[in-house]
Amino acid sequence: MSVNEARILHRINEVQSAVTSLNQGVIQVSGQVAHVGQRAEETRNDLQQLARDFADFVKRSERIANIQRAETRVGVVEAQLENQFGHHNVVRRFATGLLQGFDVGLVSEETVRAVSEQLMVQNPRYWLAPVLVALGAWASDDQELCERGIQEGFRRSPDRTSLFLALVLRRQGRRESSVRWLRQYLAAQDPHALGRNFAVILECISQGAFGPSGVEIVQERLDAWRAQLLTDEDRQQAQVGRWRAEMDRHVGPSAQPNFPRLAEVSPQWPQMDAALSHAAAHGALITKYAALAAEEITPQDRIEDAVDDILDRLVREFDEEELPLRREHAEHRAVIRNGGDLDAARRDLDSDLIALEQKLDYLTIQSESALNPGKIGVSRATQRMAVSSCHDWFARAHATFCGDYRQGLPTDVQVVFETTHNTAGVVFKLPRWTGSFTRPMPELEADLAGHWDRASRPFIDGLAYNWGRKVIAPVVVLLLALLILVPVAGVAGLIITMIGGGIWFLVLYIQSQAAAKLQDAVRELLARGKQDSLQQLRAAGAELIDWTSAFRREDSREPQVRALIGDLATAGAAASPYERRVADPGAQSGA
Amino acid sequence: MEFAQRRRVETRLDAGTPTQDRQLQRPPNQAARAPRHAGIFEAVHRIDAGLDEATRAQLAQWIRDEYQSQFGDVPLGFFARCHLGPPYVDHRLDLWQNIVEHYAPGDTVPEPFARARMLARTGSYDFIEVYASGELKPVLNDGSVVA
Amino acid sequence: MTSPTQNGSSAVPQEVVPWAQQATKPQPRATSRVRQMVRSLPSWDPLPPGEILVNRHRRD
Repeated sequence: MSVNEARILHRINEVQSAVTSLNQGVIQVSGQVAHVGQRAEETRNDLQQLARDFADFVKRSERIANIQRAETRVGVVEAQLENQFGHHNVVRRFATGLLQGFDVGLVSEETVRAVSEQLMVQNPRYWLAPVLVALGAWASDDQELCERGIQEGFRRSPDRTSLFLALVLRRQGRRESSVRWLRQYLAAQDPHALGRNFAVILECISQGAFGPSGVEIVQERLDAWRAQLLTDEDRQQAQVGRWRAEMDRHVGPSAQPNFPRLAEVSPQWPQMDAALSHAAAHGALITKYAALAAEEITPQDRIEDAVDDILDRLVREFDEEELPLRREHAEHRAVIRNGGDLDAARRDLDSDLIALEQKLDYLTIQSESALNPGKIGVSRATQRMAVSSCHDWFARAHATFCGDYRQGLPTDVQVVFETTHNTAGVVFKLPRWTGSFTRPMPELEADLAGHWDRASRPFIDGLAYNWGRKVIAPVVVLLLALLILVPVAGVAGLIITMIGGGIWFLVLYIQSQAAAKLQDAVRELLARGKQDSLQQLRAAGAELIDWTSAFRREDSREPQVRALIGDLATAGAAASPYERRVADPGAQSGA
Repeated sequence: MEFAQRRRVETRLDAGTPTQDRQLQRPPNQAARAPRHAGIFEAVHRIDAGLDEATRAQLAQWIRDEYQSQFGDVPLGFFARCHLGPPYVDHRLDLWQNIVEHYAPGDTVPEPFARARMLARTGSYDFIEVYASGELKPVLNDGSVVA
Repeated sequence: MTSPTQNGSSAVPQEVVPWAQQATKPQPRATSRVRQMVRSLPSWDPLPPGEILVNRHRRD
């Protein structure tokens, strides 16, 4: 090896080791990069944790701030409440005491003394105070003070004063007076928005808690509300429409299984079926509403509990004036109770204060009570009273329902036999036949039979064996044969010709017999087809008679339904047995 | 209680037998739905029972006036079941052209009376009022109107 | 008239209860619900302002 070569080799070795160490360096670096990546991940986790801890810290300090704010405000609000409405709590305490006294049948002198006239003066705007004074005066036979209390209570809140007195007087057996207060309570209601208390009162009335006179007096008010809410014809029609839907719900099923032949052959069947199933509604309506009218509805104990619930609420609930402060107080208390968590506090508020009381307008209440009592949760007794109130709409809807289905009756019932109505028809390609049941049956049958005959004649005639044509050929040939053979072969020729002719004619004869047999077979097929056709016609005719009597039977129940609706109109007085009054035509006018 | 009941019935009766003026003061729809009184029934039945033309014209005039004042709307005429017996089943009374026509089941009835045929045939209505608008108002035996 | 229904703060989620059966949170009862009649009450009744009670034989 020369020097230069050795030098070159040495250089190569150097480069090689340099590359090797470079490689090692790269590996080392990548390892370090990985290490850094891992550290970055850890750092990111730490940062996230830090962010969370910070958020928690913020939330905690927010909550602490909330609690502090609430605690500060609570004290202030409590002071305000004590200052402005402290007396109200006193009134409510006395009210509970008085109510308890009435409940156990003994109103002590102490209780009466407590509800002195002072109470009215000290609580100038609270309705409960003067009412207590009035009741205390009643218990101690002071008519003049009682009247003053009532005047004042009625002035402050006619709605609640009337309700309270109605219920207390009722409990004390003063039915007639309680009904008068009931009338006042109702007069104070807004028929566009009736709430929970009214729902209970409605139940009470319908279950006879205020007696039949209660029902009558209430009906006056309800009639007035109805008139008020049904200001235009459209609204009336809407109510009548709801009752029309009720009719439609009672339409019967198709009667096709009972009238199969008629259904098949009459193009008027759909109309007839519809009319019959609509007429069947009368029976269904009678079943449903007669049961409602006749039901012995026993008043539920629940009602007395509901009445007591109202009384409890009246002596406990906050007066309107106090409500804003009371609400604020409750909100702050809730915040403290829930450790400053505002969302939890909102959910935790005493529902009595912020109850979203659902309100309905009277028309909805009446319609729903009658037609859909489960939906608004009223009892059967209330349903009956509501149906009674709706009798006018019920009657009108029923009358138009009847008129409509009767108008739908076909003027003429036809029977149509298509080519395909039996197999023979297909075979003979029988054209369509139409008949009308306004004609007597014998006429129809003759017409149908004639139709068959006319249609099948060409067919059968076409099968007849045409001797005329068939005979020509053999005769001609025989004659020719005779002319040719006989001069040549003499008698032998004649005999041959005879035999040939004989065989030919035999063949023709056999053929004609076959044709005749075929003709007979076809004739029989025709006869059977015609017979079947006639039978279908008769069956349809018989079913039509059945259908007509079925329809008459169902249709004639209309007056029964009208009488029932009239009965229901007077069935509003639930507690007393009602008498069936003869429907006065004048009374049935649209009110 | 009886007193109150009586009072209630009385107020109902009051509402049911109005004077002419009171009828007109009611909303028109309500007036149109008021029951047809006995006088109208009598007149309609009398026209049916074959009279001379002059009397018929008079009756028709009376009926038209009654309808106008009591109910605010006068029908073209009436359609009802025919009591003459076969072959006739229905008949039509035209209030304006002073016609009474009887029909057998197979006959065609002019519009708008034709649609009242089946209503008449059910026997549930005393007669059916047919209006120019095409509206049909069946009248029941007690005078109440289906509308 | 009837008590205010509007709730100033956000709505409390409620299940759908039929209108006639809205109950409030069950509270302790104010009375023992014995439902007795007080015997010492006078024969006259407190009546709405302006009304006079005509005494009838039958109490309905």
